[in-house]
Amino acid sequence: MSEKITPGPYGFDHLPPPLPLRAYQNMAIVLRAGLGITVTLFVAGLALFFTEHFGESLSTVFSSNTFLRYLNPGTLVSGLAHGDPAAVLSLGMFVLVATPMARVLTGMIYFHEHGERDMTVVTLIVLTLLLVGALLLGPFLAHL
Amino acid sequence: MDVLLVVLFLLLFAIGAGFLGSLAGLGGGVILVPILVVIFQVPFVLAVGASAISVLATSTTAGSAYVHDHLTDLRIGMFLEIATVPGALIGATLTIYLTKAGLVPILLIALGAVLLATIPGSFLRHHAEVPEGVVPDRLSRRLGFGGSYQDKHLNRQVDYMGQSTKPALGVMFSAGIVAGMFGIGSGVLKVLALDGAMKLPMKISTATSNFMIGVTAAAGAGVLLAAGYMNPILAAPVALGTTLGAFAGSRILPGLSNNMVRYVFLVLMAALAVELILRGLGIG
Repeated sequence: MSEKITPGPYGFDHLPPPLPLRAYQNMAIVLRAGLGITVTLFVAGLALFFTEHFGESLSTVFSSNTFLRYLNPGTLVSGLAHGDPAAVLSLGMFVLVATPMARVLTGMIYFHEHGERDMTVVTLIVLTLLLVGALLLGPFLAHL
Repeated sequence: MDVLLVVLFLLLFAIGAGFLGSLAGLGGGVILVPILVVIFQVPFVLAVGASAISVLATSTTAGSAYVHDHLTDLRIGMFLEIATVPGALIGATLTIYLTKAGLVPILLIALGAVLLATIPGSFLRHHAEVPEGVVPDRLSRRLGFGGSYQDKHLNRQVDYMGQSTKPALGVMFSAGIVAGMFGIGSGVLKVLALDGAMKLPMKISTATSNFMIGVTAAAGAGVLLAAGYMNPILAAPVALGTTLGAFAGSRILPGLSNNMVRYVFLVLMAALAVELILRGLGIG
């Protein structure tokens, strides 16, 4: 925070230096990788789904939410190994939800490396809240 | 009906919602829940889950481009997420709680009201390309909320600062609640905080809002996912379709005058909002 840069239009000359270009590039890579993996899993999962459920009616497919059993990591791995479309699609959803979390983590690492203690704490709080929501609050609400 | 047909229809409707939403500048997510509930008869909470997943996918697509172009103010975005993320956790909790309590009509009426309130709000956004007379507050100074970017349209470097951080936090908390409850981006509220309260330049405001939408949606989606209120057969085609539609909307017709599309989109949104309210009241 002590490093000075060119004063802005408002006479404010204590802006911290911008994050390095690498930080932005790596965040973009995290987002694109997450999206790419998700889209691949969604397309593959839907293709598998249609081959297995071709000609079935909506009511038979939606009568039970098969995704629920894949909230368990062990079952998810087993489902993926057996090529279950619901497992593939579920993994796509997990990756998509985890992508912004990975981006927040990337930001936190760069703020830390940059010596910005306040912003490191801020991103740590955001990341903690996201994890609390997915790992504690969600499961708690499921059993409410 | 054959499940293949239903999924194809879902994909087509999502492409249309993403395309129109992108041209109207509101995002397709805002009409996805009403479409899923009214047209596809999907239970409200599952529609919210699918919509949250689609908002996540769309914002990740746009977000990667904005971050790469350095238009996203990471400090401001990350800081304000301290308000949007707990808001989204509370919003998603409310939706699950009201669903379990058999109070879905309240959710229908509330979403209808939010959509109707969004319509005038959508005309208030982006009042100035580069706001003037900004007086940074204490928090902005302490955390260094400001920077500069090269504006290709203005052909010059633009320096900017943030102000009114605390009011912006309040608006962002509300945006988080709305986003978590209904699986929408709440972009209008986020821009109101960034553009209206903090007086950030339009491009920074838009990019930072998009950056935040992804994290806020992840908070709400994470809760719904872990609580079991997601159906991948529903969420996957909706997310793929909305992303494809939004991408096409942003790339194919960048020079189009969007006013007519916006009016059509807003009329459609108003009609869906009224239908939701009528259903909530038991009249639809």
